[in-house]
Amino acid sequence: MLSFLGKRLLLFIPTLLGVSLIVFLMLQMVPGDPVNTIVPADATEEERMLVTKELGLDKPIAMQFIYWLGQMLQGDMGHSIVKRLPVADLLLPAVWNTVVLAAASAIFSFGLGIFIGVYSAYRPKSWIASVCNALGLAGIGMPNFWVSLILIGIFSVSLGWFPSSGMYSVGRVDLPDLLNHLILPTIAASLTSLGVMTRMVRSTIAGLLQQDFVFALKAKGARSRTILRHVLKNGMPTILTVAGLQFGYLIGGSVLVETVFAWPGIGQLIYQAIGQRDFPIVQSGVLVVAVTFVVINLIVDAMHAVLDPRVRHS
Amino acid sequence: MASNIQHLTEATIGKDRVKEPSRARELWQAFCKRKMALAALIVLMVILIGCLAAPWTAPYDPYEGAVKDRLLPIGTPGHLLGTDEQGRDLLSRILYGGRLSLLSGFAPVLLAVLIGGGLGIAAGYFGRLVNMVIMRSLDIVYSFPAILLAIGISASLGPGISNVIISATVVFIPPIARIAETAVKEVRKEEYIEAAISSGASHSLVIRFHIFKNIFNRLFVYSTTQIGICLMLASGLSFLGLGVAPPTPEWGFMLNNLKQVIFIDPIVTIVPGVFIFITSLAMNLVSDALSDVLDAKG
Amino acid sequence: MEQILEVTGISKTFPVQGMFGRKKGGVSAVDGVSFSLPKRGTLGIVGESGCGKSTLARLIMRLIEPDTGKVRFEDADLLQMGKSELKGIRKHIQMVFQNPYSSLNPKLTILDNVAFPLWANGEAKEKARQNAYKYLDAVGLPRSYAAKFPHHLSGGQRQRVAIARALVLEPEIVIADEAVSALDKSVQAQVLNLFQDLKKEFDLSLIFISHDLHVVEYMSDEVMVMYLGRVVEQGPKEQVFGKPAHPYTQALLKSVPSMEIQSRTLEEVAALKGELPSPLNPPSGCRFRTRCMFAEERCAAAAPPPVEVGTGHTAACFLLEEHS
Repeated sequence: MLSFLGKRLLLFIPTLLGVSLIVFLMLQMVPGDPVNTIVPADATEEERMLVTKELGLDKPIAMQFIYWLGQMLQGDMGHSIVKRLPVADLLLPAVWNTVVLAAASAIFSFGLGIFIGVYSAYRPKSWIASVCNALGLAGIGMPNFWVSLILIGIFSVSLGWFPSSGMYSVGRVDLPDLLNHLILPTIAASLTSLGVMTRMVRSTIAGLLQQDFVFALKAKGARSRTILRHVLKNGMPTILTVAGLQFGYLIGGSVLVETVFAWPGIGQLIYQAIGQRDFPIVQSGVLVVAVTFVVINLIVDAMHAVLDPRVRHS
Repeated sequence: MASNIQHLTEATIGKDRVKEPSRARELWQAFCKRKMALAALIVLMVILIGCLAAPWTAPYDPYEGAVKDRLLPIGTPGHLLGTDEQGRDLLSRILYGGRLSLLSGFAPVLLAVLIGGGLGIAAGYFGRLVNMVIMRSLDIVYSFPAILLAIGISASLGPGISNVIISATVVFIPPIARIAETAVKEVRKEEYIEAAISSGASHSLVIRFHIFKNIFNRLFVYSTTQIGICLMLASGLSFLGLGVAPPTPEWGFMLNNLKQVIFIDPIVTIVPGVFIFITSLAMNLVSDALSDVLDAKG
Repeated sequence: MEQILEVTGISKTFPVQGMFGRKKGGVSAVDGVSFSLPKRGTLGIVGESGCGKSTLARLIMRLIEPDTGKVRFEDADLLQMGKSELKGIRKHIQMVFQNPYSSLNPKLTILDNVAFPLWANGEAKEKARQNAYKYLDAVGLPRSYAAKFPHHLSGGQRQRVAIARALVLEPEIVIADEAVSALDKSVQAQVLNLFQDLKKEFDLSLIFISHDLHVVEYMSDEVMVMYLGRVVEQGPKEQVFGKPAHPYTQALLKSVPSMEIQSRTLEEVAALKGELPSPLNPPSGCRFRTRCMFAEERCAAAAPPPVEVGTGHTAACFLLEEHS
């Protein structure tokens, strides 16, 4: 068990390094000199050299990378070019907002998905099972930014039930208001996870129901509730693993939904920063999300190994 | 002596003179049995042909429109799908725009198969060091959530449909390479590979005739399942403004434009998205059926 | 009698990976095997599963790289050759594999499966196919089968294709690695006879590997018995089967159900005690000692060298030294 985790942890560090390297290189690819975004067009050569030195751009690339990495590890993410505030101050609340949305989507899609999936496994011919099928296909096929527009169109514009943007109404920070704003984005963001979960839960549970131990339990006269408990216990490792991965995607893939709903999350922040060519935000933002994603995957793997002994010995 | 052998052979084999239908025909017949997939394929064909033949199928020039005609509803005589926020016929823009959208759905997957497939085959065939270097590097790229990676690359390269295609290609290379590598590793263990090597064949010959032919099905089926996803990713990128520039029509970008008028006419806003959805869904259904049909035959 | 192939001291240990690539020991698959193959003769290699016979075949052909040893063929040592030289030699030694279901490429036609080795050696596609037809005839497959695929054929037919493929490069030596083990008994007989006929027709030298004693007895001139990676006995067939010297060979031969009506007293039946030890940790000294009725202390101390017990007949057992 420990050797398995040890192996995974060992891969973790080079992975994080590699991820940081890619993020760093991504922004090296941007055409044009970043100095130009800071310095006015008519600046003198001296002024340009000053800014270049200040940004550390006169050093070789490898040095820049190490320096940048060092800064990141100390929590110093630089300053936003546009807003003139420390990046960290902007990032943290944004990350939190995304987590709120992701958590809500996770609760919704996992809860509903597991329920529908289990039900469809037990009653394959029912209408709920057909809903399950349809959801599975639709969830995976519907672009979430489009669904967001539809939801806004129907529920905000036509029916006026829910607000169409933002996380809170102006001046309010209470829970009911938050929930009011949460509903539409959550539905839009959950769609893919919902599709994946219903499909996967249904096939996992259906597969388990065919296994010999279920027949053995029935022969022993066990109640269906007991059987369900055993089946769920068996299916948990797979289901939780997929759920964990989906949670990672919810955090990492939030950009589109956040943009449509003007939800002040990290995705929205990065996207706006791209438009404004505010590179410190883009770089740190992408790095934070990517690292979170890797960490979540590691936790999911570890959890899977804890729950399913077969994985540890493979 | 040879005649003895002949005699023995015929006695054991028997005389079968049944003419076997060609394999392609068998697969096609199996596919057609799945009604939903067949319907999906037809829809897909209609969309594909309609868009590719846009200069002939579109009733209007997609760039022309008068502001006075803006946001006409669906079903207006002369404008089957209505008009957009600048008065341009929506149907024509959908047909012309489809060419770019479909291109950005198919091309990245095709490129990813060429590049990722090649990398996966090399990693699976040569093993050990080559495998480690290739797969670990790809794992790092794979550690990024897809849309984030695509946005990052697109942002760095700048807007434009070719950059969207590049970003999407990079996103799909790791999973496709992984599928190829796994498949090659399985095939590599078979005895006919040993036989091929022992006959003195060069690596490229072994890969061409023995490895590639036996992984092609799996690779092909998997990549078709990715096309729908790629279409959504690419149109998402265009939606964010990282793709084409105005006034070029493209489904994702059109959604972006129409987004602003959602408060005025919510219904026409969703039309381009319908096409993304239908195409993606049809592609998924077809690829699901393909995977069933090809798996059954092995 | 000219020896077309001389193998000396071949060994291979497969490392077992521990954490972080640290070696946790190894599987000693083949240890110090030496033998020679007479020209136009058949050498039968026999032993239980896991005794290293199949690994040995692959080591001779350098499909797996040996740790030590020499393989002399036509005045050259295969194991010293560079890549391109090796390629040229490959066509002289060909192999027929055990599993008829995985030894043919399912995506190539029968004809192409047989023709491939010719393509690999530079022959043009169509010419190679014409040549391949000749070999399909030689193994008794009707030409109508050429365009079919392996999954259309039965196990026995597929082995014929495998044999045709092995012959198409006109090798001097053919190694049959458990080539009939996966076939029904009735089909086995046909394929064995086919081997005999082809051997005469194409002037081949055969190495015939099997765990089936009857098959080895039927096919071979010389026999080599292996146990846990080592040679325990080798010599002319009549001697090894008629007067087995090594306890293992004796036990093997006695445990084979025989159609001969001979009265055997219970004492004569030397039972094979116990199970095959793990190749990860083979017994020290003589590897057979843990199952040997006659094991003594010195059997654990050192590996017994081969002792001559007849003309060209040797066995590796300390007990035999007293009698020689």
